[in-house]
Amino acid sequence: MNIFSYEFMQRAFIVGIALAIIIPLIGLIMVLKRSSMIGDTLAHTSLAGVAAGLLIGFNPIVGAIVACIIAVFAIEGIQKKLPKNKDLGMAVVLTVGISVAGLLSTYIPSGMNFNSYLFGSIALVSQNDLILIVSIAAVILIIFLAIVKDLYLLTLDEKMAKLSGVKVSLINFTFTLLTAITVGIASKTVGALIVSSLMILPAACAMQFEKGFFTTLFLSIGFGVLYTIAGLLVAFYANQRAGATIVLIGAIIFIIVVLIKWLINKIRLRKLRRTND
Amino acid sequence: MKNVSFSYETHHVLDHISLEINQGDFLAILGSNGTGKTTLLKILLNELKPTSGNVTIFGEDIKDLKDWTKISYLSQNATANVASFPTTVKELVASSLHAELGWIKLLTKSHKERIRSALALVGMEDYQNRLFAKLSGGQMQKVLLARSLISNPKILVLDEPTSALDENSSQALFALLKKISIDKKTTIIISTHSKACSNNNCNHIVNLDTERLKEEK
Repeated sequence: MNIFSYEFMQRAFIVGIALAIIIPLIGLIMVLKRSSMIGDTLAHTSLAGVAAGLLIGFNPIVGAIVACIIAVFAIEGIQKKLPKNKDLGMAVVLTVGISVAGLLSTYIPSGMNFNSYLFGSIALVSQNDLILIVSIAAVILIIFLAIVKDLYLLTLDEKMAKLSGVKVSLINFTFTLLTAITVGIASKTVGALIVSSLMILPAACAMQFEKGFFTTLFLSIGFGVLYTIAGLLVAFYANQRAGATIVLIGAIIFIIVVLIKWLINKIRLRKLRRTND
Repeated sequence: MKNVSFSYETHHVLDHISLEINQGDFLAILGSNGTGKTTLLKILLNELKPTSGNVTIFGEDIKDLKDWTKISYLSQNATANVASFPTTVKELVASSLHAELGWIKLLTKSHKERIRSALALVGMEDYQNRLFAKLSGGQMQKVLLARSLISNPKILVLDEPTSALDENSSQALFALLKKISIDKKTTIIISTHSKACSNNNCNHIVNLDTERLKEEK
């Protein structure tokens, strides 16, 4: 039977591609800002929201989003109090988030499958989840495109951005909020423990091509979509978890890209030496 | 700048500095490491508040200054910050037009022409589509200078732009800045260790090594 004749796979592809477009956008900025740790922190904290949602009886994705937003405020609060140890804020929030998730998870009835949020369950996306995730992803994409040039300037040189009229605090806050919401909506499908990898790997692959900022941004989306489509196909036919498969394929593609780049550089260097001789 | 003093907690850095800079001046701030060159620039950019004294720019107290787009700044670590960033020369220079662009921030024909002219001014016209990270140190500084100049700033502040350059490149950069200050009437304030370059090109030099501010020219 054709893979697309299954409704759950149709939903998986729509949600997967929507996420594969927005996650690498956030990921590239995070990599360039050298703040990849925040993705991990929010991803782990989202589990506390998921657990609360399953326990109290509201949509776990909404729970994950709320937990991530609270985490963002908590990180900023701690960083303001301890400006010399900015990493501490993230470490403390990550620890508290995962501890709360661990504590709450013991009260969740076994049938609710809290574990599926650790590694994702993209094939179990309901129609309601699809509408929620795709709508939020569309809003994130629009806001991101509206502030992308401010983000470019701010990530490049914060002082220069300020002098150029960029509202640095507002843009930073908006981006962190977008990150929190992205992690929140990705926690169920991609998996809380895997989402930060999907933020970093497409950016890492795209940066190997040594292109300008906007080309790198498009390449990141391209790689994100490629991993997702390949990952879903492999996961379906090999009966594996989709989130983990997507990330592993991403890692394999990254290694291939690095190897090809190394080989091309070696051939170029050899040609150059021959020309000089 | 009148009677400006500044201390980092108990460490006294600047003591009653008074300084008047006119339009088109090319001012060099000289001094050994730790004498407060960068601190002085940060006070001029309102990043640090002086412990005492006051700073006026365009006849307005710096605390009340709203339009910072007339001032362009090239930081000490600018090259290092941008070197690992995936960006082309054109994207980098265009980023300085940010305040002028509309909401969608698309470049018009005239913006593109200004990018070309700014790069031509520093001799980097043919490098528009090159990756910034692939340029040499001197070329990077020239591109960053073009980026600082494209918005036609009234004041250009440069913090040790020659620290990673050899003597010839430093001389060339100073000569280029002198030309810009004369041709465009841009006020240029530069912190540097290079006394020779400053003597040859600047019309105003202050040396923070001396206990009090002493104007050498």
